[in-house]
This record gives sequence, structure tokens and C-alpha cells, in this order.
Amino acid sequence: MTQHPIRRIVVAGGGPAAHRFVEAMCSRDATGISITVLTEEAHQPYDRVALSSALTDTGVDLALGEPDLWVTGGVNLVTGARVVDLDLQTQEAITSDGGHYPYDELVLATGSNAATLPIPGNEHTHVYRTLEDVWTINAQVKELTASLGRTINAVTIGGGLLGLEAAAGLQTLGANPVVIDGGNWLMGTQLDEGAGQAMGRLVADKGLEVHGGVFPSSVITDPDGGQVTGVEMADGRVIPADMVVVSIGVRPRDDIARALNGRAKTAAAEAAGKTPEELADEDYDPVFRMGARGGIVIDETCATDVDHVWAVGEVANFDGKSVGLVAPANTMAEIVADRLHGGDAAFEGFDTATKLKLSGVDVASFGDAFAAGDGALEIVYADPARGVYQKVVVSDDATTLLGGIFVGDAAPYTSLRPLLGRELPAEPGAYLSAAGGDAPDTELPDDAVLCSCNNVSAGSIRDAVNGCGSCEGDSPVQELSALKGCTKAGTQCGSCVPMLKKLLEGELTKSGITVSRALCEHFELSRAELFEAVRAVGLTSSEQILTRFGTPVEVAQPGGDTIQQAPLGCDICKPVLASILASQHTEYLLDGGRGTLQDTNDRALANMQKNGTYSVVPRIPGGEITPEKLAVIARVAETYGLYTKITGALRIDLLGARLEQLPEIWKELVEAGFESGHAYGKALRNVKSCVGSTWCRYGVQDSVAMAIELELRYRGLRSPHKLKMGVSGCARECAEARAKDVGVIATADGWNLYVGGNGGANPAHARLLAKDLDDATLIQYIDRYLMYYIRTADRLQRTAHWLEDIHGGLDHVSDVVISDSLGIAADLEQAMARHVDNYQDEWAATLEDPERLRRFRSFVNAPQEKDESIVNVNERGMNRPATGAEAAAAYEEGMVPLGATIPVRSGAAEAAAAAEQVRS
Amino acid sequence: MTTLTAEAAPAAVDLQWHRVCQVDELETAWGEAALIDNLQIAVIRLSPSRIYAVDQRDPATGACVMSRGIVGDSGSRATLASPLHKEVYMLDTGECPGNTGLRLPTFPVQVADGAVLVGLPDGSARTDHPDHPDHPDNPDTPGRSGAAA
Ligand SMILES: Cc1cc2nc3c(=O)[nH]c(=O)nc-3n(C[C@H](O)[C@H](O)[C@H](O)COP(=O)(O)OP(=O)(O)OC[C@H]3O[C@@H](n4cnc5c(N)ncnc54)[C@H](O)[C@@H]3O)c2cc1C
Ligand code: SF4
Repeated sequence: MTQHPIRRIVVAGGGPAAHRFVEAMCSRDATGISITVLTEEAHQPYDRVALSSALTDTGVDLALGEPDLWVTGGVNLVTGARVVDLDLQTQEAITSDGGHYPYDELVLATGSNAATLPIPGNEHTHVYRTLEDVWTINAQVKELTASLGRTINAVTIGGGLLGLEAAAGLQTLGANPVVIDGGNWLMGTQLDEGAGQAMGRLVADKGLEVHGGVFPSSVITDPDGGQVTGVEMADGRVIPADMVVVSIGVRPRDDIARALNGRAKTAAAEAAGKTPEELADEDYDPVFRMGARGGIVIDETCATDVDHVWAVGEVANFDGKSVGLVAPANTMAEIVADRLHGGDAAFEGFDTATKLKLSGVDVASFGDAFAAGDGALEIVYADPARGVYQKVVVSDDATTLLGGIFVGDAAPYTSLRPLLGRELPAEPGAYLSAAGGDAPDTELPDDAVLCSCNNVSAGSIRDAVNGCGSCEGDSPVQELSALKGCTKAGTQCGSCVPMLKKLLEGELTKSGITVSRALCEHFELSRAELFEAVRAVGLTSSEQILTRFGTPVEVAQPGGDTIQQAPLGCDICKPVLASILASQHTEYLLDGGRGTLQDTNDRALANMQKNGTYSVVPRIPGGEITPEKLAVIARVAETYGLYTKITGALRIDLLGARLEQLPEIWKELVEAGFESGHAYGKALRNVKSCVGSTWCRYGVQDSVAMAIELELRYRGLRSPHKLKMGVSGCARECAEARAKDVGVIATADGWNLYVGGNGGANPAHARLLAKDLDDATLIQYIDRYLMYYIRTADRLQRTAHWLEDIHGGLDHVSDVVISDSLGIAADLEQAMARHVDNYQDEWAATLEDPERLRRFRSFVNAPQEKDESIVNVNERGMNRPATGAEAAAAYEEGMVPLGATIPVRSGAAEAAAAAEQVRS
Repeated sequence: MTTLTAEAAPAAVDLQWHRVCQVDELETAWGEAALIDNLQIAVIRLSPSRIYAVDQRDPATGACVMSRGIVGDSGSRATLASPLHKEVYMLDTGECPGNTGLRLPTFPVQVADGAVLVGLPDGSARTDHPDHPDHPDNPDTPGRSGAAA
């Protein structure tokens, strides 16, 4: 073969290993190289590790790599292209549609298939491997739940890492999760018996029903053969099932290699005058050596037996095994990229550390977890009743760390894992935190691998923090998300993130940088700290807070002296003070100097629009409104020439009211029984609901009544950011409750409570906090949840972000809310009760008091005059603000006696000539 | 007691003093709009002897809203944040440290017999104030959105 001027690299397969390979190639010098990725899937490579998130949220984007990775000059991604054969003579990969792709180097990254169950009825089961798999499962849960009209039984066969993830996902989707596992305890690959027992406890607490120790023998369907009804077990029991997911392991996709071996065998048989069946495997030379349980054998350079053909990821067999984890796949991909660039990187063996990604079930296992090595010692703490098991495996002299298992409390895992194979800085027992062990905080050595998924060492993270220049801009990377982006540490399975955070903070402290959460120049404290401080000291006014906790300013006195004085605050801290005071005291917003703290909208109890007018949004609890009240809104809009629009929150927005019109408008609305909708506040906005069981054919609970109850309970509640809620009457979720800070979804037995959802620019799906609650418990949990958020969140931090940011995340919050782990539940409830008791409608309170109405005058010296700078234009039958050009044109024509500062530009007149001028 | 809170107006300009309201009609740190011959002014009281007057129009957007912004301080200087996009202006000079292209016109204030007086250039109407950003002689006429488009 003649050498092609461009080095053509072909990758068969498009999973995480293929992605990492391409990225590693492109991050090195890729000139003169073309890379063609052939993947049978319809998607660009995606993050399979995070697949379970697509089970519960089918819209989530799991694509791997910056989008332009796949469209840059040298890279060509071909989707829908399955490689079925190789021509080793011409060096071509051949796809099922007959395409020939010539290569100089070929990388096999075809991964694995989910294994299927060799039992009758298998064709009615699902596997759990691709996006399509989880989308189908998601759709089927919904369909069955609707058609059967009850919670469905979703059986997962296989209690390993993936099976448990699948079962937890099915639970989140509202199914009753059942796990069947042939072994005597769950996660038999990673856990010993003691750990398995503790694990069983945790999984049961989470609500998973486990049948262990017996294998399934068939999947039973109804007589029509369509619908699954149960799983029959080897002991004759039948476990009811409406759907079955099989997760019993993976099989390397080595069929390309097998095809070539098959042909070689046939040729050898022919030469020997035998049929291929007669020829024993050892009687011919396979093209590729294969592992006993499949997989293409590679050496430590990741090369296969065939020149210029490499294998990486789950399809590769090293040292007799293929491993279904992403960390070794990434490492192999890096090694091949290095070798193709003339490097000498080598694979040193599998890192099998794993941490289960199951909220509420803290499980990790790494290294020689079973203490199989010679003389390995086990130091164990077990408390099966509490579901806690901790084990550290060390060398016979009790110094070198060989492995470990942590169940129920895996906190030590993150700091131990990088020390695998090294001398422990402390007695092994010190790492059994559940037994009261207290390991010293030791520095990770630079060469210890902190993120094993991406093989990032502590040293390279330190370098990035201190500005090694490996990232754009050369500047030190001192923020967690930037550090993740730059080093890739913590971006795959995420289990090293706590360690990463600690290392970052340690480095920053070393270089004298304190991680500041100060609110602004006036407060050293963060919002959460200030909230607690104000509460503890019992302060009730902004002056007190500014005096007590504000950073004093120096003011020069006429005599030349300076005195220290409390600051006035600013547009950042003042609204925070307003919010803290409102959350703690529920007093009329604008009295007692509090008016001057308020942000733009709160100040006028209305939302300021671009032209200085306001919008008026009356509360319509749950979106339910009588025709009479609708007529009132219509009348008010007509009287004041307001633009009306239905909002996304099931309410009606009346736009274009001038400041001094607000009291008159609200007088009419309050008289008709409306209240403020707090559209202007960092407060509860609304509770969206569907029509629920009252009308809907599918509804199982009265979502409207619940939404109204919630909205009336939390109306006016001030919080770090706006709050939205939703209530759906059944699992169909028409109210989109999971896009809200608090989402409530009806089940046959009560309500599921979801938290931390968010629409807007950074959408997030709310996550399950508790299931099948009765009304009282639901409200109790929401009380606690909201108050805990209000106390501990940062300024302008929505609940979704707060849940990510707060130490311990959702698990911690659920401990506080459900198990009262901090012992503050009663206190939180009382705080909410005070809010509920003291609530008053802000507009009714305003109208009662002439002093309060004064704040809505147009001009202090001419309260009867209106602001003539506001110019409207009629469009589609309603008023809207004039554009600058239109307003200027009106001014030119002398139609509008303007305020001081409406600018005049001739030429704009023409632009506006067509517009019909309407004086507001 | 008489207090000047804005920097003195250019000597060449004759000031005309307009009574706006009584000092005690203003609440501390709560801005109010005032109308002087069709000219909209924002009046801000920090103490009975420390009162500022600035243009009511938001330099960034052209909307007449500045009196409704948050009053604060930066070091020992008083500030006013636009209620629309939160640019922060120094109340004494009108400069905007966060965006040097913007400037909020300021007007001198006196207090006499308990009344607030604002000094406007003689015959001032809209853009005739040389300090005014729209004034053709103003070297740093800022770019502005919306209205200037
Ligand atoms: C639900 C789930 C959770 C997981 N969680 C974790 C975890 O927490 N930690 C962890 O380390 N690992 C986890 N894994 C395993 C991890 O996802 C795999 O180790 C990783 O995906 C392996 O990458 P790969 O590229 O080798 O193979 P794959 O991801 O299988 O990718 C191979 C790709 O090649 C395509 N392909 C196959 N054959 C051909 C062909 N002939 N021609 C063209 N294209 C082909 C396939 O369709 C596929 O897209 C999880 C896996 C699943 C399913
Ligand atoms: S409207 Fe409500 S009750 Fe009806 S299907 Fe949708 S979510 Fe279920």
C-alpha cells in the first residue's frame, strides 16, 4: 500500500470511548490527520454513564464534547453507519450499507450490548443501554399507568449497579419498583456479604422491593401475548409485573472480529479438508485473539493482534477481562491517541472503583474490595440495622491501601480512592468514619489520580488552580465549574467532585485567597449568614442590620475629623435586607423605612416595564376564575387602556398603568375580591394546576383544590428568589409541575412531592423528595422545605441551583425535611405558621392608609399631573409603548409636551409617521 | 441652612432656583419625581441637609424613572441605581463608574426656609442645559438605547 498523504484514522463505534479518543487526538496536533467516526446510533456520542437521567427526563441533552468537535475540519462523524466487516488487505472498514472507509489506523470502540435473558417471554422485556431504550421505557411507564389506571409494577431483573439505577428511575417515574436478583445480595460484583446486607437495608428504605437469591424462569404475559403480567421464579412463585427491564450484564460487541475469525477458521478447515465445525479452536490461528467471555484482546498499548487495528473501551479485553466502566475506556482512548502521536503511554490495568449513583443510597467500592490479594487485611465496621458498612483493605503490614467498601456512609471514599496503592497517612481504622474514626486531612500527592473517569491527577488540578496556562487565557482557574471545564475532572460520574472542591479550596487558602461569599461592599456576610445573624440577634429594621453587620464608612467631618458611620447599602444588599425582614416578620413592605430597601418592582407593588409604566397582575389561585371576576378584569383594562395578556402562570397581566393609576386600578380590583399576585416580588408567584380529577378523565386527585390551598397558604411568602409551584392531577403531568420549584403530582395513594425544578434559561427537572403523601404531610414537608431554602440560600439563588450548591445536595435536604436531621423541623414549621397567620394583602393594606397611597404620586409638587413622557401606540387593538423613534416623532409634531429628557432626533419622524399616536 | 449638593453649575450659566416642595415632604432615601416647567427631576433626600436633584430620565433607556431607583452609597458617596437595568450613578457628579459612557445630569439644590430649591440653568428646557447629554456641545454625549435609535 502506498502511504496516503493524509493519515486516515477510522473509528468504529461512537460511544464515550470514541468521543474521548477524538477529543484526545484533536487536543494534540491533528494536522495531516483525518478522523472518521462510524457509529450505528442516530446520535452523536453521548454520555451513557448519565443515561438514567434520560429515563426520568427524556429531554435531557447528554451529548459528549463541544458541538464543534464533530464538525471541525479533520473530524467526520457518520451516524447510522454500522461497521460489519473489515478488509485487512486494502485496509477498509465496511458498513452494512456497503460503504468502504479506507484507514491507515483503525480504532475499534464498539462497546457492549446489554445481555438478554435466555428465558421464555424474553421478547417482552426491555434492556437498558441506549437512549432509545430509556425513552421506550419512559413512554411505556406512562402508557401503562394511564391505561391500567394504577401504579404499575415495574420489575428490574438484575440487582447490579445499572439494575438499581434503572429501578430507582422507574420509581421516580411513579412505578412500583421491584428488583429480582439471583445472587444472595445486591451488587454482588462490588460488595461482600456484610456490605450487601447493609445495602439491602438502604434499598428497602428507599422503597425498592427486592427478591433475592432466586433466578427468574419465565416472563408471563396475558393470553393475547401482548401484556406482561408477571415474572415466574425458579421456585414457582410469580411476582406481579406490568413491565420488565433486564439488566444482567453486558456482552462486548466483538462481532466484527468474530466474523474475520470465522472466515479464517473456514479457510483453515478447508486447507485441512475438514468442515469448520470439525476444526477445534486451537487448531487454527485466529485473526484476533478473543477473551474467554468475549472481547478483543489488546496489549498494554491497546493494540490488537492485527497491525494498525486498536481496540478501546468495553470491547477491549485486557488481562483476560473486559470491564464495563468508563474510566478504563477513557484511559485506553488516551493511550491510543498518545501512541498515534508517537508517545509511549501504556495501560496499567483496570481501575474498577465504582460509586453507585443512587440518591439516598451511598455505596462505593474500589480496589481489592474482597481482600483477595495475599495477606490482605480487612478492617471492618458494620451496623446492618442502620444500613452502614465500612471496610478498608490494607496490605499485611497495615500500611498500604489496597481497596475498600463503603455503604450507607461513603464519605471517606472520596478521600481514600486517590490513595489506592499508597501508604495511608493514618491508621486504617481512622477511615471508618461511622465508627467514630477521624482521619486527618492530608494533602493528596501530586501524582495521585483524583478523577479516575478522566484520569486527572491532583497535581494537574493544582496546576490549573495556580495558573499553569493549560487553559485559554493562562489565568488561574479558581472557580469550581471553570476548573471542571478546564481539567475535565468531575465531569463524568461526578463522585470526585467533593474532593475536587476541597482541593480547590485548599489551594486557594494556600495562596491567601479567601473564597468570598460576601454580599457586596456593605456586608462581609453571605445572605444565608446574614439571615441567621439577623434571626439570632432578633433585629427588626434595616438600620439595625446596617449598623450591626454593615461595613462602616468613614465620613469626613467639617472639622477635618472622620467618623465611622453605618453604610446606606446599595441596590444589591438593600433588597436582600428587605427580603430577610419580610421572611422573618411579615410586615407591610413599604412602612418604617422598608420602602427604600425595595427593588424596582416591590417599591410600587407592580412590575416596572421598559417605559416606566407598570403591569398589574391580580392573584388567580390555581388559575381558577369566575366569569364575574373575568369581567372585572376586562372592565379595568378598558377603563385604563391597559394591554392584556395571559401569562405563562395562568394569570392575566394588565400592562401600561402609570404609577399614580395603580391605587385606582387596585381599588376596583380589591373591591371585586382580587388580591395582589406578587408578580413583582421575590416571593411565591403562583401555583399552576391542571383541571384534575374533578373534570379530567384521567385525574386521580383534585389538583385544583390542592393548588388553591397551597397558593393561599404561601401567597406573599418572600424568598431569595421567585418561587413557582405546580400541581398535576395524575402522572400525565399536564401542569408541568416538575418544571417548578415545588411540584406536586397526584398518585392513586396521595401526592408525590418534587423539588428544585426550574423553567427559564436554565431548565431543570424537579427531583422526587417524597412519595404518596397525604395532604397534611405534603404541606408539612413543603413548609419545611421552603423555610429551609429561605434560610440557607444565597441571594437570587433559585431552588434548583440551591439544591446543587448546598452541602450534601438533595440527600441532605431530604434528611432535614423528612428525617429532621438538624432538629429544626418544628422551628421551620413555626416560622411558616407565623407567615400564614400574619399574611395580609399588600394592596388592600395600601389602599387603607393615605400615608401609604402618597408613595404612588406622580410628582411630589404636582400629584395631579401625569407623566407626559409616556407615549403609546395602538397595535392589534391595544396600547403598547411607543418606540423611541415613534415618541420622538410625536414630540416633533407637538402632540406630546414632553418631560425634560425625551430626546429629539429628526428623521425619526418619518419612521413613526405611519404609527397611530395615542396619548396615554 | 443652605446646602449645595451638586457640584456648582458652570459659572457661565445663570441658575434659576425653583421651589419643589418642603424638606419634610420627602422621605429619607425614597426618591420623588418633581415637575418644573415640563422638566422632570428626581429629588432625593438623604438627610434634612443632604438633598440631591438629578434628571428623572434614565440615561441608558430614556424612560423617566430615576426617582424610583435604589439610593445607596459607595464609600462615603451617595449613589442612585437605575430601576430598569441597575446602572449605578454617583449622586454628586452623575458619573456612572460601571459604564463611563453614561452620565446622569445633576442639578444644584438649596434648602431655604424648609423648602427644597433646585437650580436649573436659566430658561432651561429639555436639552438646553450644557451638561445635558443631548446638548450638542456636550463632549461626552452618551450612546443610548431605545430613544436614540
Ligand atoms: C445506565 C448506565 C449507567 C452507567 N453508569 C456508569 C457509572 O456510573 N460509571 C462508569 O464507569 N460506567 C457506567 N456505565 C458504563 C459506561 O457507560 C460504559 O463503560 C461506557 O459507555 C463504555 O464506552 P464505550 O465507548 O466503550 O462503549 P459504548 O458506550 O457501548 O459505545 C459503543 C458505541 O458504538 C456503537 N457501535 C457498536 N457496534 C458498532 C458497529 N459495529 N458499528 C458502528 N457503531 C457501533 C454503539 O451503538 C455505541 O453507540 C453505565 C452504563 C449504563 C448503561
Ligand atoms: S389534566 Fe391533570 S388529571 Fe388530567 S391527565 Fe393531565 S395531569 Fe392528569
